[in-house]
Amino acid sequence: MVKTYFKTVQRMFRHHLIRLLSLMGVILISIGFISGIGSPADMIRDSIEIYYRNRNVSDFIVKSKTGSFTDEQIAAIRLRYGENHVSSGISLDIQTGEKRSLRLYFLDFDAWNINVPEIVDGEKVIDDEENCVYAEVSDNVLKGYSIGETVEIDLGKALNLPMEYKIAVTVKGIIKSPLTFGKDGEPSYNNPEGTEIPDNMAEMGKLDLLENILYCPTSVLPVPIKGDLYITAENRNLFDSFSEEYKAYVEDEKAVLTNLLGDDIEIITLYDNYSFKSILSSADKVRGIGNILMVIFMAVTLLVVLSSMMRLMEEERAQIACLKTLGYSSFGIVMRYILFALVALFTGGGGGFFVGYGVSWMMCYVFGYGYDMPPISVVVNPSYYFLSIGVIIAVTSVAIFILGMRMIADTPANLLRPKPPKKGKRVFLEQIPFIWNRLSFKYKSSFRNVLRYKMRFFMMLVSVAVSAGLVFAGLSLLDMCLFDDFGSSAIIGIAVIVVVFAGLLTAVVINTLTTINISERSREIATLMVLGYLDNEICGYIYREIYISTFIGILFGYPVGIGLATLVFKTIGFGIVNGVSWFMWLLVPIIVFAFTLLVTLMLRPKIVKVKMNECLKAVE
Amino acid sequence: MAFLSLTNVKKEYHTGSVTVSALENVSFDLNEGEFVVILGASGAGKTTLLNLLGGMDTVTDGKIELDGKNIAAYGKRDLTYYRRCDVGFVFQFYNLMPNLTALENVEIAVEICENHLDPKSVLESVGLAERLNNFPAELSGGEQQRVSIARAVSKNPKLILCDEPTGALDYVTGKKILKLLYSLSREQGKLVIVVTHNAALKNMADRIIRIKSGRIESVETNANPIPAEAIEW
Repeated sequence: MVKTYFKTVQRMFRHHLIRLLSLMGVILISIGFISGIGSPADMIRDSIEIYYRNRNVSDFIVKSKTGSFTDEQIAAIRLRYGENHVSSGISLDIQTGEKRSLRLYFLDFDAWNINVPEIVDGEKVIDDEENCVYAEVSDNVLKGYSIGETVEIDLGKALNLPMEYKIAVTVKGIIKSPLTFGKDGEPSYNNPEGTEIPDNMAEMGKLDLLENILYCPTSVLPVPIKGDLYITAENRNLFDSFSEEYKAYVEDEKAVLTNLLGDDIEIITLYDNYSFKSILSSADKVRGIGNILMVIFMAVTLLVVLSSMMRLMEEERAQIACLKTLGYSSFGIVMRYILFALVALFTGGGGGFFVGYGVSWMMCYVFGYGYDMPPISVVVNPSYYFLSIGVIIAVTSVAIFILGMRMIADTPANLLRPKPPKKGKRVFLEQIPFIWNRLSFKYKSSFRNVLRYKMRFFMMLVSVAVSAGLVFAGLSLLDMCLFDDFGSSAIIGIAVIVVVFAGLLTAVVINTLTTINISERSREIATLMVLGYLDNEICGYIYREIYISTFIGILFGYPVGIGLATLVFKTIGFGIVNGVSWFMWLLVPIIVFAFTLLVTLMLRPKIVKVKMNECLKAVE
Repeated sequence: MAFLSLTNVKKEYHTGSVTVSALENVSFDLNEGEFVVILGASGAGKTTLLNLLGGMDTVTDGKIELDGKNIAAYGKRDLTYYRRCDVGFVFQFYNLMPNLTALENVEIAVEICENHLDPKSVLESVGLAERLNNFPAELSGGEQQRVSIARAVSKNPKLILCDEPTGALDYVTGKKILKLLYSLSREQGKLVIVVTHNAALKNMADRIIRIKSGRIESVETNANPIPAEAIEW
C-alpha cells in the first residue's frame, strides 16, 4: 500500500472522529462494566485468603461438650497437627437479652498465635495483668465497649459452677478478630444445636446473635479450663479456603478429630463461620449477576458497533467505488474499516480497563459496608477483561470483513450510484382513520419513519429493550434488598451499579443510533429548513422518532427485564419479580427517558448545523 | 419601486485565511408577474445568488428588497419566517419527504404558513389529481417535480425560486414543467425566477440576467417571450 492510500485512511479518521469517539464510548462502558463486575468475587477470595494466612486463622475450632479436654487428648491433637498448630482456650456465650448473647473467650494471651487479632485501639494486654481484657470492635450488631469500661461477669453461671463467682474486668484494648469481619452479626452458641448458619441477613436476624465479645486472659479463671481447641491445618499450602480439595480435607479431618477426641465434641469449621460464609455467598451472587449481565452488555455492544460500521461504509460508497475503479483490491479497501473499528476497540478497550478498575473499586467499597474487609488489592479481572475485548474484536472484525466484502463486491458503477432513499410506506396505524386523521403531519411522518428503516428500528428496539431490561433488573434487585430486608448491602451496591451502567449503555446506544439517523436524514432536515421550519420543529421531527422508538423499546424492555430479573433472582437465591414495587416499574421508563432526553439535547447542535445547501446537492 | 430589488449585493466566503468573493456589485430590479431566467455557467455564482434570494444565506453587503422589506437585514429567525411564508422553492432533485405522500408533502409546507392555497386543488391544477396518495418513490421524475411545484405554489408565496428545475428530467417532461412554471407567472401573477445554465430558456423569459464570475454581465428584457413548447435545446 502506498502513501496516498494511507492519507485517505488518515482523513477517514479525521472526518469520522465523532463516530470514532462514540464507538469508543460504547466499548469503554461495556468493557468497563464487564471486567469490573466480574472481578470482586476473585478479589475478595484472594484478599480473604491472604488475610486468613496472615492471621493464622484456625481451620477447626473443636469444642468439648463435657467442659474440658484432657491433656492426653490435647497431646494427641498436637501430635497429629504439630505443636504450633494447636492452641487451647475456652469460649462461651452468656444470654444477655432476647436473641442476644455476650461471648467470652479465655485465651492464653502469651501464646496467641492462632486467630491473631488486630489491635485497633487501646493497649496490649499482658496475661498476668489484673482482670484486663480486650473487647471486639463494634459494628452493626456488636455494641462494643469503650476503653476503660468495666464489665461484671457472672462466671459461676457461665461455667455452670456450683457457687457464685462474679468478676469485674476492665476493657484495655479494642481488637478485631479475623473470625468476625462481617458487620451484620455472628450467631451465638445459644442457638439450638444443628442450626444451619445462613448466608443472608434476613435469616440471620432470626437467630440468637452476639451483642458483644470479650477476650480475657486465662488467669481470670479460677481453674484452667481447656474447652476449645483451635487447630490450623498442618500444611498451610493446603489452605486454599475456597477449593474443593479444601472442602474434602475438612470433611476428612472432621472424621479424624472425632476419632481422636470421641463423640462429645462440636467441630466448627470455616464453613460454619458466618462472616466467611456470607461474604463468599455475596461475592458469588455478584459474580452470578455479573455473568448474566455481561452477556447482555456484550450483545448490545456488538449490535451498536456493527450498525455504526455498516453506516460508515454506506456513507463512503463513493470513495469505495473510486478506490475500486483505481484498481485497489476489495481486501485492501475493507481493511480500512476493520482498522477503523480496531482503533476504536483498542482505545475504548484500553480505557475500559480503567473504568473496570473504577467499577471494581466501587464494588469493593460497597462490600466494605457489610464487612470489615481486610485490605483488598483492587484488580480488574484479566479473564473477563480479555475475554470480552477478544470476543468483541473477533466478532466485529469478521462481521465487517464479510459484510464489507459483500458490499464492495458490487460493481463500481453500482457503488457510484447512490442507494435510492428508502420508500415511504404506510403503517398499520393508518388503518385506523380515527387516530390517524387526528395526527398532524409531524406525527404521521414520524410514525412512518420509525418503520421505514426496519433494520435501524430493530436495532434501536433491541438495544433500548435490553437497556431498559437491565435497568429493570437492577431496580428490582435494589427493591428486594432495600424493602424486603433480603440480601446484603453488597447486593444493593451492585444493583446501583447495574442501573447506572444500564442507563449509560442506553445513552451511548441512543447516541450512536441517533447520529446515524441524522447523517442519513440530512437532506430531509435541510428540506425542512428551506421550507421555513424552526430549529425546534426540525429537532422535534428527528426527536419524535427517537422518542417513539424508545417508548416501544421500553415496552419490550419489561418482558426482557422480567426475564433478566427472574434469572438474577434465581442465581442469587432470593427475591421474586411479583414482589417488585410499582414504584420501580414506573422508574424504568423515567430513567430510560431521562438518558434519552439528555442525549437528544446534546445532539441538537448536530441537527441545527445541517447546511441548507444539502438541498441543492445531487441525490445521495 | 420594483417588487424585488437588489442593490450592490456582495457575498464573500471565508475559509481559513482565504477570502473568496462569490458575488460582487449585483444589482437588478424585477417586477411581479415576471418570468425571469438567471443564466450562468457553473461556478458563476448562480447558486450563491439563489441562496441569498431564498433566505438560505446572508449577504456580506448590499440590499435585497422584496415588496419593500430588506431581507438582507434579517436575522436567523426572520429569515426562517421569510422562507416559511414568502418564498417557494423548486429544486433540481425535488427534495420531497420520502415518507410523505404527494398530498402530505404539500401539506407539510403549508401547515406552517398563513394565506396558503388548498393543497389538493393545487395538486389537481398541476395534473396530479390521480396521484395524491402516492409516495415520491411511486412517482416519475416529472410527477415528483410537479409535487415540488405544487408545494411551492400552495404556500402562496411572493416569490418562486427554481434551481435547474428541468436538470434531472428528460426533454419532453422538462418542457412540460417549464410550461407549468411559466403559467404561474402569467396566470397567478407570481414572480418566478429560474436559475439555470441552459441558455435555451432565455427565449421564454420576460427578463434574462446573465451572471459571470460573480458579477452581473447583462440584464435584458424580452418583449416577445415564446411559449415553452416552442423552445429547443
